[in-house]
Amino acid sequence: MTGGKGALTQSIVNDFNQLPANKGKIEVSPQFVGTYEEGLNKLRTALLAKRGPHIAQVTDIGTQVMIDSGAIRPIADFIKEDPEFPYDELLSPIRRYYEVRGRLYSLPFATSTPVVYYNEDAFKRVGLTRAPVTFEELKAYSRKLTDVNLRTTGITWPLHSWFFEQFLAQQGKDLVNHGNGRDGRATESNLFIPEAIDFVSLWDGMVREGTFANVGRGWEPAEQNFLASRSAMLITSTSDVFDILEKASFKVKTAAMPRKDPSVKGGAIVGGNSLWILSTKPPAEQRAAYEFLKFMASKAVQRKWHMGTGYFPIRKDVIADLDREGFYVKFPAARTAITQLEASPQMNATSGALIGNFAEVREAIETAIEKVIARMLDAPTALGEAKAETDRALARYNRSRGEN
Amino acid sequence: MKAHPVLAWILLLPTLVILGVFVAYPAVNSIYLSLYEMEPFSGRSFFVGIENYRDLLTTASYWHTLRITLWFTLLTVIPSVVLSLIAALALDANPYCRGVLRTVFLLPVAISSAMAAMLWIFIYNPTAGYLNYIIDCFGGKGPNWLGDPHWALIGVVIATVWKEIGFNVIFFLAGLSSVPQELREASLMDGANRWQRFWHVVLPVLSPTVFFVMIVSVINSLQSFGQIHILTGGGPAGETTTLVYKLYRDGFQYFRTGYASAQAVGLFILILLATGVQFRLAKRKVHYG
Amino acid sequence: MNQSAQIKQTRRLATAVLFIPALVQFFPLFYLICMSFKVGGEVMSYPPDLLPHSLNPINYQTAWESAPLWRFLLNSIVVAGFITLLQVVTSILAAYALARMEFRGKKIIFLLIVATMMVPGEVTIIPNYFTLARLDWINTFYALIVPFSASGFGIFLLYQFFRTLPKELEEAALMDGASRLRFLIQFVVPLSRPAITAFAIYAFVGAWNQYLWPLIVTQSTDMQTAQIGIGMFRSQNESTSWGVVMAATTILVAPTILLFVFTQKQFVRGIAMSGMKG
Repeated sequence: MTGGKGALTQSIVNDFNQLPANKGKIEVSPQFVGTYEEGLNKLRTALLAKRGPHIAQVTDIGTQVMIDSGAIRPIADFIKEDPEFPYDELLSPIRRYYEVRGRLYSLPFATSTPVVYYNEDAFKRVGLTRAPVTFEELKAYSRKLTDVNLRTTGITWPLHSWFFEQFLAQQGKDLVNHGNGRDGRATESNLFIPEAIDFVSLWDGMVREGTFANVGRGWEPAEQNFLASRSAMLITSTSDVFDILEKASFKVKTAAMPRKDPSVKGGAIVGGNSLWILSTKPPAEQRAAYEFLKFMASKAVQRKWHMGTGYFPIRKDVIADLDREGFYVKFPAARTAITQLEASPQMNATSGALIGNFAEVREAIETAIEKVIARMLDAPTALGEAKAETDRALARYNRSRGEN
Repeated sequence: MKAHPVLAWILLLPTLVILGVFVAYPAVNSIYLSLYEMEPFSGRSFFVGIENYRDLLTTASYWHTLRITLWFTLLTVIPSVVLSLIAALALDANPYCRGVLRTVFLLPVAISSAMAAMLWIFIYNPTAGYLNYIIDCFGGKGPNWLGDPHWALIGVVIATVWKEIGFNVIFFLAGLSSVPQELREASLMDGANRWQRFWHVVLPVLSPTVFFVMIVSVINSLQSFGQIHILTGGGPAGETTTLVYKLYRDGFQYFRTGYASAQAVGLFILILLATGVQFRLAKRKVHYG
Repeated sequence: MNQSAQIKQTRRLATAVLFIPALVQFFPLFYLICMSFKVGGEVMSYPPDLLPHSLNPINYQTAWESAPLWRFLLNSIVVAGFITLLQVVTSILAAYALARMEFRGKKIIFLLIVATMMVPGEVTIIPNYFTLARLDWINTFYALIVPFSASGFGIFLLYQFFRTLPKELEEAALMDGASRLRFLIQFVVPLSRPAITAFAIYAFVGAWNQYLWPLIVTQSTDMQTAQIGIGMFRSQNESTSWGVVMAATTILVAPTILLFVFTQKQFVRGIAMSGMKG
């Protein structure tokens, strides 16, 4: 966590350390470890040398590899013996991501989904009153909002596999087999299904039409493009909502992601990161780590975290309180993603995929998309290649686990 | 010269110990690791023999990566060496604001590769980047430098050369300082034309430095990582993935230790070959004392 | 054309040739400094304007307050300083032995040392971490300094340089009864000052710019270095306050620039010395 979110994290840690019950007994000290990837590397290196922290903040896609590491203690073990833990208050879609076969492994920390941000002023100028709901509307609205002379486009979003995964889940489709990796290890990916090809074709089509601004990978270029009024719509994480509202020089509104076919059962997946307790430390210290995680899940902290950043509160009661207090009347933009998530039906697709080497899968997807947009390959060929590559990677990972 | 083996070994001892423990040992270790496949976190590994190497050599993307690496090296080393040599010569011959100009040329060296890369991301930014803005002012339309697979490598090369020139100028200036003043003055005065003077007089004396700069540039180029990581992450569509970047990705993003180790061995061999070739060529062309 | 006119022409040519490249070299740094004074959305305006609206130091203030930059600076100076010193010393000793002394196995040693330059740095990270863990040096200055206290590059560079020094000088000194070591310190080093300075700069900058290794090997904020500090300002999640990142970078870049300014003299002195040699 860096910048403003880093400062907030530090202040939450300070609050914990200051609690009378903890003074002199437990002290938590956070450590900056670079990006998710760098942090994971640092963790891995330390674990290989039989060292490491008590708690690790790990990115969402690292879930399976963390479970496989054998170096973690599922938080479920502690919750079992602690009736005070607000297990039932946790929002189902968020909880489901980090829960495998009924066992919660880590505590969701920074959680978000994508939402559509749109420039209401630009919309009004071309006579649009709401965000698109279907793919057809998405294409049509984007055309209206594109102006070649002004060099503006209808929409943009980062070139990131997350969006591919989201749009698959919206159509109720798993990313990989064996229950999205949740019923057993994934051995095959679904990169070649019609829904996947459709989405990439849509994306590519809009780039060719000039209605989509292709700003490449990375979260920032797309956001900058939107804030500079070059695109009228932006799809990105809801965790940036307060930031975007503050920086925009125009009226910003949010909406749920458009869906290819709203009648199909499907919904959004959460993303972000979670907190893990490592089993390499003595039991007493593990308990202390659990106390900290429990603190993180408390109402007060969740409120503070959500209101200070755009991330979801993981508790239903916090959302209910804020609803009652009219917080979302003031900031309707922050409620959109929550509403979108609440509407996400319970199924493997919306629980997110569990893949040991998720990073490789993401790279294959992103490379495929880049090739299509660069007109090196068409969507079916690129995705076919990606699927072959991913399946090989899955087999390799499973083999390295000693399971052929 | 009398032989003084004892003293020599004493002088070499600190270096040998440090390099032995912290470079040689890991290198040998990685050869060992390349014969295994390791589980990411637990460290458990099982023997796979030359499987990793076979895998590597039969993957089309590895050869693609090799090609990109060679291109990248060629495109960065030649301009950076030539341009920095010219710059060093010019700096040396120029009496006006010597110190200031020298510092200016060296400035890129002060910024880390990562930070320099971040600056270049701004300059290359498709929305508000300065480079395309300037091109715009001249009526052209700048490409999406880092996002377009056809241009991305060039974008990375430019950012790399920019930084490399600073480094190479330092070494050339040092080398030039050992060219005796009279030799330089003499080369300016004789009837022969400037080019001949340079080629036959200055360059030979400078040749040990040129040799050093070339070797170091090639090695650095083949190991170039920081800016690629920040600028393009190896993309788009793998068009800026060099051997070392692929190594990093397989080793530190995918945690495929055995596979990455095999690549490290391959990369080492490549660098060894490139250096060996240069040493061979140097025998004829480099003059000492 | 007479001699002085030719010299003048060469000098004017030299200046002309340098002008645009100097601008290109300087531009990104200038851009960095301009950006460090820009606030909020100003950074991403289109069309982009170079100069900031005002010399608002707020980014510097924010940067200074958000992270213990002074501590990072101090750590980096200590680490880079020691690495440079150790590399210079070990390289001088080793290069002299290789360039000027005879002993069995010399060629192999030289080749092995040059070979270490070719080992991709990435493979050294995990084994070195293990070694340091065993020595219990994790999160100490030792971990940041010791693995880098020798350098194949340094040895190679100085080897090249030492070999260009005339043998007669050495033979004369030795015949006068001077010991080898004395010769090394009193003659070789001063004569090689430009090369040593060049290498020192290279070593210092290399050490200063390290990121991954310090990140892996430090466990507490008070041991972290400048580059990690900059990393802290780059946000993965929210849109980065680029102005603040640039301000932090400018602060952390200052020592290296100062190093350049002060070492300028070394180059000049070197030139004067070789002139005297005749």
